[in-house]
Formats: sequence, structure tokens, C-alpha cells
Amino acid sequence: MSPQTVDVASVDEIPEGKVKTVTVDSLRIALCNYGGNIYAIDDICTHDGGPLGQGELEGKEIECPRHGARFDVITGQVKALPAVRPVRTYPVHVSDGRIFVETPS
Amino acid sequence: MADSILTPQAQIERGLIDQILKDEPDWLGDLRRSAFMRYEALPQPDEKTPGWRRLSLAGIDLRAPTPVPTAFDFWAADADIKRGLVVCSLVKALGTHEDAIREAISMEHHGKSVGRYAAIAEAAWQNGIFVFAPEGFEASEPIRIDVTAGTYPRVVIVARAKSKLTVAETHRESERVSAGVVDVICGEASAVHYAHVQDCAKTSSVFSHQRATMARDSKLVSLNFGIGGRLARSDVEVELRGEGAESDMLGLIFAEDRQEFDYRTLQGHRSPHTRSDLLFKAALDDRSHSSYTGVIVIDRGAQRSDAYQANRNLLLGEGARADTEPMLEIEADDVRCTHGATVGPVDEEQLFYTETRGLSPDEGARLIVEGFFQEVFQKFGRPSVTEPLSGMFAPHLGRVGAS
Amino acid sequence: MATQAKTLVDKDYKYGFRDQTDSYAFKARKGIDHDIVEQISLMKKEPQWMRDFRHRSLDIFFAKPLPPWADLEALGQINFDDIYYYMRASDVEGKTWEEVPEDIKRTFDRLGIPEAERKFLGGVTAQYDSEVVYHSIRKDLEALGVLFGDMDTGLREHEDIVREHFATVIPPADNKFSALNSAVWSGGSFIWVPPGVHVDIPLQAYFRINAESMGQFERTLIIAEPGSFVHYIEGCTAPTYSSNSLHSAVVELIAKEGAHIRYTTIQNWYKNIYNLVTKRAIAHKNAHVEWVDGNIGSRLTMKYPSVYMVGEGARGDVLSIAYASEGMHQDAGSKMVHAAPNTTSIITSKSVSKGGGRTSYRGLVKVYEGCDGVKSNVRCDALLMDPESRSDTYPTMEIDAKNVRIEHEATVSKVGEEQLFYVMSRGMTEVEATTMIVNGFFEPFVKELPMEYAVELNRLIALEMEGSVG
Repeated sequence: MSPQTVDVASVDEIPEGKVKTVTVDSLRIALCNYGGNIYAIDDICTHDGGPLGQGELEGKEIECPRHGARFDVITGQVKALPAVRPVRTYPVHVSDGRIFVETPS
Repeated sequence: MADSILTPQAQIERGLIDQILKDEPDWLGDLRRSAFMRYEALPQPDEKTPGWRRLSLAGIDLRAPTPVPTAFDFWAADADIKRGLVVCSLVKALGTHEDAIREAISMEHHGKSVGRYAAIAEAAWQNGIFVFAPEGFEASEPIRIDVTAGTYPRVVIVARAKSKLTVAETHRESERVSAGVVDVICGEASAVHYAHVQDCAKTSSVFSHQRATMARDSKLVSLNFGIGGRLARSDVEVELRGEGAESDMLGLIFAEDRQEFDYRTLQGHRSPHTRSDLLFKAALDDRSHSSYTGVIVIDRGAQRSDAYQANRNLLLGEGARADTEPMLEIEADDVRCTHGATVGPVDEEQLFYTETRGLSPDEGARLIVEGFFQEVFQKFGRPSVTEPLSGMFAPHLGRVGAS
Repeated sequence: MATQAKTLVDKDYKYGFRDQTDSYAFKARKGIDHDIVEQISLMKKEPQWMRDFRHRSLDIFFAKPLPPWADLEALGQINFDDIYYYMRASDVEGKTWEEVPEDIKRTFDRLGIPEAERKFLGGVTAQYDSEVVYHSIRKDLEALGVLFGDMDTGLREHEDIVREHFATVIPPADNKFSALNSAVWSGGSFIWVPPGVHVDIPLQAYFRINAESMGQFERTLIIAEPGSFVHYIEGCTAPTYSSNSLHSAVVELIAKEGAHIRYTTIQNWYKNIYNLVTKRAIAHKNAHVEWVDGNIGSRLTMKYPSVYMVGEGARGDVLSIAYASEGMHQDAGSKMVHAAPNTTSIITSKSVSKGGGRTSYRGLVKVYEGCDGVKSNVRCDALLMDPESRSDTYPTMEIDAKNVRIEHEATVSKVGEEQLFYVMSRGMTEVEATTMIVNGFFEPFVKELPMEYAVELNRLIALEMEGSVG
């Protein structure tokens, strides 16, 4: 199965420091604007399934509102417990003001 | 007929219940109606519901099905029937044993088997199964019941004082969803062996609620054997209400593929000098999952009671998962209470031992898994009941390997 | 390494003040809101990021509900508006010896607690005069490069280290009480051990206590760099009184590769105190964390020291005892999270309930997928001294890896008649025999304590048994 690249949102929808959740097929993805660049991660916290997309973005770290776990949105690495497994990241391309996310099919 | 789903429209569902109630006594109608109200008040469970978090429910339709009457075959010794043993449809038995049935199904329950599926089963069951052993009656042969179809199997087993019987109830339905309720009433000084065998279609979701109420000096040895279903959730509760009551609860699961087994047990000590012993074992292959939650409750007045509980999980597949949560709530002090749980693969030392005996690693592993099960069968002690069960998991055993 | 926190001096404050504590008329008042949080942070001269952190945490505290699985009968009695969330040393000194409950004074007598200590434990003086001892230990530590002080100073003098690690183990949103602590924390210990350094003497909170840090909302952060070792002890066996009834501490331990941290606690709060603590450690590759936890006081203690093993070969141990008498509930346990292969955890929990007391054990052993070679052993034993007492255990195991060995066993029983008879036939009274049996029951824990604690604990148990028998 080849990966697919999907147009999910316009760049204007996500100001710096903000997060927007989108759905691609059955995947929920949180788009994060850090330093003017868009990064895409799973919307689901690896600790207890909390909604990462509803969390605060502080610099390049996003905090899950449920129990405070934090992840680096660029690498997906865990920055604070209680999460222990990294969150999945997706390659992002921006073109003509549109955001494209690459997901495995 | 297409499997029509009960819609949330109360009138339609109630209309269905009213139809069932037509020829039944009022007290039963009241029970059905209040069970139905409980069903309506509880939400449809999903992964967010407490106690359901670890179950993989993707793609399973858990909505309560339209009632389909229970269809079953049974076998009991002719001589026993002549001496007063009764095995027949529950609805039919209302004509001859109304009081016994009323007493059995009107019992109040402390346990957790009062969820949505128990409620709809209690409201919408049709036909049902009734087993009755009169006072002092000793059955000469085990009674075998094979349930072949039906969405809400309702079983009532009444063992009057000093009676002795063995009942083996096997489920082979292939409904999308089935929810059953079993009530076992153990009279004073009675001795009951009860085996509940679940071998339903691998696409079914099976909900089972089994409740036993034990009077003074009664003995109950029960076995829950589960091998079928895509999702099987069982609530098994024993209430030791009379002094001197003794309960042995045994459980055995063999899971493979992506089967999900969820067992909840309750050992309820309500009187002094009661004893319970529980051993639930699960062997999990492939990416299957089992979850065991067991509670021992010892009431303040239940002094000099002993309670034991052991849950053993054998992981055979790389993706297999086991959860276990043994719990104790002890309010009497003059008691002895122990519980234990283990999770792990085939023991390396044991495997090594079989190899020194000339067995290949795979053969050794199979022998160990078989031994794992035999302990439970031996504790149940009714070979004519347990031998067919050994036969049932033998083909699955062939897939077991040492790695 | 250390950046002086100069940020506060030049800022434009909401309340228009900018210098030290003395010149500001802070009035201790009950209740919690953003004003109080702002004042706490300003008085401590904290950097802006900590102030923001506190405010955010307060919002999280307001939003979170009480944990539904807890003893809500006890928890529901806390009136959050009727509590002082911050008191300075000078506020504490207003108390008198007369206010201290009689039964505590009697116990001080029986245990032979020195005069100066009594006033401190009774909450009457703000400072414990052990400055001399503390100073000499400090010099040894300085030579090793070890940092040991209170958390406020740690933040001021070593801001970079603190900022890197603070709240990475227990974030404010973890639970309602960690959120509260994150908003109003004050005092607690800050320890940083350089790589490869072994600190031979146990570091004790006792050395540098003042009213704030003995207190309510301690925040402790211990960082052990690779290959280092440190043993930290907090609390004491003598009964401790505080008129502030809500205590909610947060303790974060970080054991980096090959490091070893042992954290010993003995808590004997008076029975008016709600002691709700979040304690958690992260153990990296081949690191080892041990929690030695004694709970013998308070109205309600909720405490589940945990170890998250995230590096291969890491190890977590919890050895805990709980003692509950009338009107007390010790709700304790542990959480062991195995997120790496070949990690080991051992939990040993022993509890005694008497006179209507209640002990609960709540535990979780979780093994993530792909973590083969994990071994975990949990053993909980509960002793019920009489028919009024109660014991519950709620252990959970969630195992997602196959080649592991997980074992759990728990027993509940009363002091055996045969055992009692045997010991008494050696010429002891029933009280002496019961004491000996309970001491024997707690022995695995007591033998891990420094001697002076062990001696005091045994004496305390003797006193308690005396109260219970005859």
C-alpha cells in the first residue's frame, strides 16, 4: 500500500503557537505551528488516549490536557511522563498556502 | 429474517416486552418491566466505559438484539426423571414450579452483574431452561444441556435441601450478540457441580451472568470453560449466605486470534464459617487478550471464613495480553484470605525438564499447556463432563509451539 | 550552571512592589486564587516562567475533579476555601504550646523527645535548631560537588538545572493534587548529584527545616546524574502536628543511567491531616530507584510511590508499611511501569489496622508491548488486629509482553492465636507479645531504616499496642 498525501488545511487556519485537529481516513492528526513551521502528530496521547490536539503548545512541546504528558512535535519524543512511548509523526509539505500531510495508506 | 436491532424508541421495545408478557403471571411481568427500565437507564458501553478500556472493540456491533427464543437439547437419565428430576423450558415450568422459580429469580444481588446486558436478558428472555432437583434427590448421571440458538438464554437451577446433581450447560449459539443469565439456588446441605461451557461462533459477542446463592452447609463446584466468541464477557458471582457454605470456582479460557475474554468474579462471604476457593486460568495465543477482575468480600459478621483466589495467565503468542486485578474487601478480622496472580510464558525450567525426557520443544510446550488445564479439570472432578472439554481444545493445542 | 534570578527586580508588578519579603505586608489569608499565587511567586523572587507555571497549574486545579475511585467520604470533607495555602515563618510563630493536642504531648513524653524538638514538631516554632549539623555536612557535600538545599534556593541559584527537569516527571495536570502543589508549592528539597559521585551519608530533610518546608506543599526534586548514588530521608517517627490540615507534596526523582536513588519517608502526621502526595521516579538504563515508605499517621494518606522504568535493565523497588488506627485511612500502594526490556520491580507492602482503622493497597504493574524479560513481584500482607478494622487491596496488572514473569500475592489475616499463645508462653504479657508480633511483621521495613529511626519506630509501635490491648 503506498502512502498518500492529503490536503488537510490552509496555513492561515493555524497561527503560530496554535494547534488544529484534522481527520484523514480514520486517523486523527494534530497540526502544530511552531516557529512558523507546521508539524503533524497523532492526536492521541500514547499514555491514556487523551486528545493531544486540545493541549497547549509551548515552544515545540505539546502538553496533553488529560494528565500533562508532553511530546516534542518535531520528533514525537516524550518530554514529560506519564507518557513513555513516543507519538507518531507525519511528514508535512506546505505548498501554495495549503498544508499536505503524508499518511501510510 | 434480517437481524433487526432494538431501536431506542421505547414504545417499540416496550411493545415487544408486552407481547412476551401476555401469558405470564403478573409478578414476572413486573420483574421484566423493571429489568427493562434498568436496561434503558444504562448507556451502551464502549472503550471509554470504566472496565471496558482495555478491550479491543473495533468493528463489533454491540447493540442488543431482538429476542430470539432459546433452543436447546438436553440429556438426563430416564430413571432420574421418573424419580422427580425436572428439566424443561422455564416458561413451561411456570405452570408446575411457579413458586420455586419466583423465589429464584426475585433474589437481590449485591454483585456487579446488574449491567445493561443482564438487564435486557432479564427483560426479554423467551423459553428459558429450568432444572429442578427435589429435596433429598441424588442424580445418578450428569445432566447435559446444549443451547443451540437464542439471544437471551435464561437458566434457573434449583437444588432443594440435601439434593445432589451435576449440570453441564454448553453454548454453541452463533448469534451476533447473546446475553444470558443463570441463577443457581443451592438449598441447605445440597451439593451441586455446575459447568458452563462457552463454545459460540468466533464472530459472536457473548455476555454471561451467573449467580449462585448458597444456603447453610451447601457445596458448589463450578467451572467456566471459554473457548468461543469474538468477545466474551462473564460475571460469575457466588453469595455464601448460609453458615458452612463452601464454593469452589474454576475457570479455564483458551484464546487465540484476536479473541477477547473478560471475566469478573465475586466471592461474597455473608455468613460465618464459609469457605471459597477460586482458580481461574487462561492460555492466550496469537494476539488474544484476557482480563480478569476478581473480588473477595468478607462482611463484618462473616468471621472464621476462609477465601482464596488465584489467577494464572499463560502467554503463548507474541501479541497476547493479560490483565488481572484481584481485589480484597475485608471487614471481618478472624479470617484467612489469600489471593495471587501470575502472568508469563511457558516456564523455561519446565520446558527444559520435558526436553531431558526426550520431547521436542514443541511437544514439551504442548504437554505443559495440557498440564496447565488438567489441574482445573481434576479439581472439577466429573470426567464425563471434562473429557469432552479436553477434546475441545486439543485441535488448538496442536498449534502451540515452544517459542 | 547557576543563573542568578535577576528577572524580578526589573519587572513591572501587578501590585507595584518589587523588593524583599520584609517590606511587603503579606497577610496570610485562607482560600486560593490567582492573587495568592502571584504573591507567593513574587515574594520568592521567582523567574517569570515559574510564575506562569504556577498560574497555569491553578487553573488546572480548579478544572480537575476529585478522583472518583478514592475514599470520597474522607476527601469530601476537605473545604478548600477554609485552608491557608501559604504561611511565612513569622506567621507560624504566633502559635502557643497550649494549642498542641494533649495526646501528642503525652507521646513526646513517652518517646523522650527533646524539648527543642517538641516545640518544632508541635508546630510552635518555625525553625529547628540544627543549623550547626547542617553546616558541617554542607561543606562535605560542596567538596563532592553535590547540591543540597531547599527547593526555593535551588530554583534561585541553579535555575537551568531546575528548569530542565522540573515537572517532567509529575506534570501539573497529572491529578488534582499535583496541580494544587504546582500552583502553591513552597519548600521541599533540591538535590543534584554529579556523575559518578556516591553520597555515603543519608541526606535528611530534618537538617534544614523551617515551617515552610516541613509543610504543606513541599516540592522535592532529586536528580542523580549517571553512575551516582544518594539516599534521602524525610519525615520522622514522632507525631507531628500542624494546624494546616491539607498537605499535598510532590516528589520527583530522576535516576539517569546507572544511578541509584533511595528515598526513605516516615510520616506520622496527627490525625487531623489529609496527606495527599504524588511521588514518582523515572529510571533510565540500568538505574535503580528504591522507595522505603512508612505511613503511620494522618486522617487520610493517599500515596502511591511509583517508578517508570524507561531504560533497559532499570529497577524499581517499593517497601512500604502502613498503620491505621481509629479514624485513620492509609490508602497507599505503588505503580510500576515497565517501558523497557529486562526491567525488574519488587513491591512489598505490609499493613496493620486496629481499632476501626482502614488500610488499602492500590497498585498497578504495567508492562508495555515489546518489553521482554520483565520480572515483577508484588507481595501485600495485611494484619487485622480486631473485628472493627478493615483492609482492602486493589492491585491491577496490565501485561502486554509475552516473555515476562509477573507475580502477585496478597494475604489478609489476624494475629494468629497459636502465634500469640507461643510467644506468651515465654513469659510475656499479651501487650508485649502483640508488640513483638507486630514488630516482627514490620521487620523487613524497619531493618532498612537508620538506627535511630528504627529504635523510635519500635517504641512507637509498643505504645500503640499498649493502647489497643487491655
